Amino acid sequence: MNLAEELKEQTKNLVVLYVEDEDDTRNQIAQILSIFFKEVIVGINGFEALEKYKERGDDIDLVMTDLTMPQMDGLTMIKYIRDIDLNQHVVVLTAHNSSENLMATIDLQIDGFLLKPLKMDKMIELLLKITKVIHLEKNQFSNN
Amino acid sequence: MYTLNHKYKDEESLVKWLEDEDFSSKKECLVQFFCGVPTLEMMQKITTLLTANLPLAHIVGTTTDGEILGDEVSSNEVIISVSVFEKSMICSTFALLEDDSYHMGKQIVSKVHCDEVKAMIFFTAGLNINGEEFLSGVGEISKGKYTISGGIAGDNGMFKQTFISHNGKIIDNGAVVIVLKGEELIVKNSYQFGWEAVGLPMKITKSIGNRVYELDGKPIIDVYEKYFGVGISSLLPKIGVEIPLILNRNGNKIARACINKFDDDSLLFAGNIATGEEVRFGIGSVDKILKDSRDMYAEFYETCNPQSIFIYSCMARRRLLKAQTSTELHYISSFCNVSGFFTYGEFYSDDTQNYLFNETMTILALSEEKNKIKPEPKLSNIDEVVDENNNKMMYAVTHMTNVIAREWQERLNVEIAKNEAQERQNFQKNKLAQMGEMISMIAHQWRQPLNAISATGINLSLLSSMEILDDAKVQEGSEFIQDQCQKMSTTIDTFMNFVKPSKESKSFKLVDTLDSIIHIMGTQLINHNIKVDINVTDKDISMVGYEDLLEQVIINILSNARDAFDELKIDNKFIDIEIYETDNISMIRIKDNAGGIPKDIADKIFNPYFTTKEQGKGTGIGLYMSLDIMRKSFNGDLIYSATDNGSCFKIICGAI
Repeated sequence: MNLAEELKEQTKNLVVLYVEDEDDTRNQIAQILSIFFKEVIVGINGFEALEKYKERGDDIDLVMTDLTMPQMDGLTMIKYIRDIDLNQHVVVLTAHNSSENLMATIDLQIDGFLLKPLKMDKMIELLLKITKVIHLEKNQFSNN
Repeated sequence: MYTLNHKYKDEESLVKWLEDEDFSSKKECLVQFFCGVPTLEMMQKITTLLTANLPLAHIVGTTTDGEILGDEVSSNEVIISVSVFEKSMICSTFALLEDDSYHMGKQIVSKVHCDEVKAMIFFTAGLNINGEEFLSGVGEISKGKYTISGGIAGDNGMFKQTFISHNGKIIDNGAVVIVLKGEELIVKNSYQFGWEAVGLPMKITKSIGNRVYELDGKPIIDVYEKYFGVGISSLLPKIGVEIPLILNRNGNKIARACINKFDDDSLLFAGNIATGEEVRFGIGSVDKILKDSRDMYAEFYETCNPQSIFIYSCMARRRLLKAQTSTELHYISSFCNVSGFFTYGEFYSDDTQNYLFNETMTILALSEEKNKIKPEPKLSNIDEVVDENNNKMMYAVTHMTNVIAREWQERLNVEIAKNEAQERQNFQKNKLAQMGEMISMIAHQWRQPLNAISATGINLSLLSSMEILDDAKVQEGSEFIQDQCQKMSTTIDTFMNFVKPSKESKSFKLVDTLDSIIHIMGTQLINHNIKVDINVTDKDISMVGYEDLLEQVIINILSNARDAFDELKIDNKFIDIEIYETDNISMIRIKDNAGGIPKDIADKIFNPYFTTKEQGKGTGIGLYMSLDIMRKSFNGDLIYSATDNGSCFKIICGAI
């Protein structure tokens, strides 16, 4: 079983909220995510995504978000999400040059970073790691 | 050959002298008379006497501003100078002013021009004759083949009416010429100037012919007053000859004396001064004039040995030198008999062209004998004479003025060079900053297609590895990638257009300019949540100039706004751009709500190096350069005004 298939095993029952303002990138990455996840909820900016999170937050296992976005940027959105669910898993997708945002993301306890343009192996690796944690938590939760 | 001179006392003695010297029997006889009594009656009287007694001679005369006989200077006298030639031929003629001075010059020379001519002596009368144009007409035919000499008739400084005469005929508006021909005739001409140029060169900015209106962009009378004091204007043109303008043509220093002042404060000069010519003020320095005359004597002594000398000297010299005029003539008159007169302008020529001089002493030396025995050189020391005259002080002040002027000029040049270097550096800095802007725009533009392409690749690869990839998906994916590449390529093209400088200044539509700027900058602005609106009243509104320069200005203003928004947490960020026309002047107004510029620094934003950005971010040159571009390249302007919550920049394109 290759890594992709392994990941799919892990994610097939998970729901991801993916936030990206740029249409082409969002469509393409959403397609990728939909190979793995049970459901991909997309948000086109922080504000809109937050609204969706408020509705579906209980279902959402993972938030993947861009940082630079109109109306509400990724970091602000993450802060609001943290207000709702302190333990929400979050992955940030960002471009190389946005390193100045790194410090802020550390404060927000991000689960991981993916640099754009995405690299498949890095993405799979990170998602594997995070989804394992998610599963662990889920199991703990159900065991308790 | 020889020349004999006679100072007129009365008819009787003149006739006796002519008979005694037996001039009437001579074959080639030239008579010049210099009439210090500038009246028609006197001219008529003398010329009638001469023609009656010497019917075969060529007789020309002129009224004067003083006469020269040997080293003696007189006024209100009449000097009669008779030259007898043995080996040369003379002819003479006259012309009247009909069309203009140029054509008169051309016409008179055409009558007598031939290959054997060695020299021509001209006298002109009539204050409205333009000596310079006359000589240029002469030069049209003479083409530097022979020596041109002579001068403009004077009337004792009254500037009312001058006369010349030719063989009994009196002319009040025309020219006479004496033509000297002959294989063995040796002709040497020379001139002395001696006026010192003082101060820095100035440019004639407005003149018509010999009437000058402006020097260095200021009324000429103001310039005279600036340097010589306010009182000077009431002394002009009286002392005009003493403080002439000095020009440099072909290495010849040429003075132009002011001879009239008009009600509009323009000045008339005794010779043309063209717009664009550089001039300096001249100060008559007796010391220098006398020294030069000694040098000239030395040079003459070395190079020639004349039998007759005629001197046509400027009225200004007589007025300035006064008693010293004799000193000036002293040496030169030791060669042979000398005669001549003080003119309102001297005619001179070198190998290349003819000149109308002012303020000079021109000398025409003639000889038919190569091996004439030289007189003993006169070696008396002129310095003694000069010391006596107490002119040292004049020389010292002139010298000091020039040294001070030169020092200031040098200092100024150093400053200018420094400023230029600084300008260049600023320009480079700005260019770099602009490039930085461009690259960051490209980065923004490219990042998205790169992300999308990469995601598509991942998508295809994953589907393939999981064996769920179908042909339709491959098609879709690769088409998508191609589209994205096209987009990136377009961005590069647009970018290249910005980077390469426009080759020509031309008319361009502002709508197109704005469109291409938004093409490369738009994404960046959207990423910053800035809404850009473009309003156009007329799609055809254009500007003329280098389009890339205007692009720089607009990009500069837009990126300033973008940076200002960065420091601001507000919703509803906007930049409104308006393209419109007022009184046929094209304008672009760029308004934002990015907070504006604090009042206390608003007047500094166009200064070089002024920046509100943190260290390392802004060069501070942007707006300074932008203003510079609008003013210099578009004859326009760039104006800042504050709005309620932001800035407004008006880009104005000057009249086409």
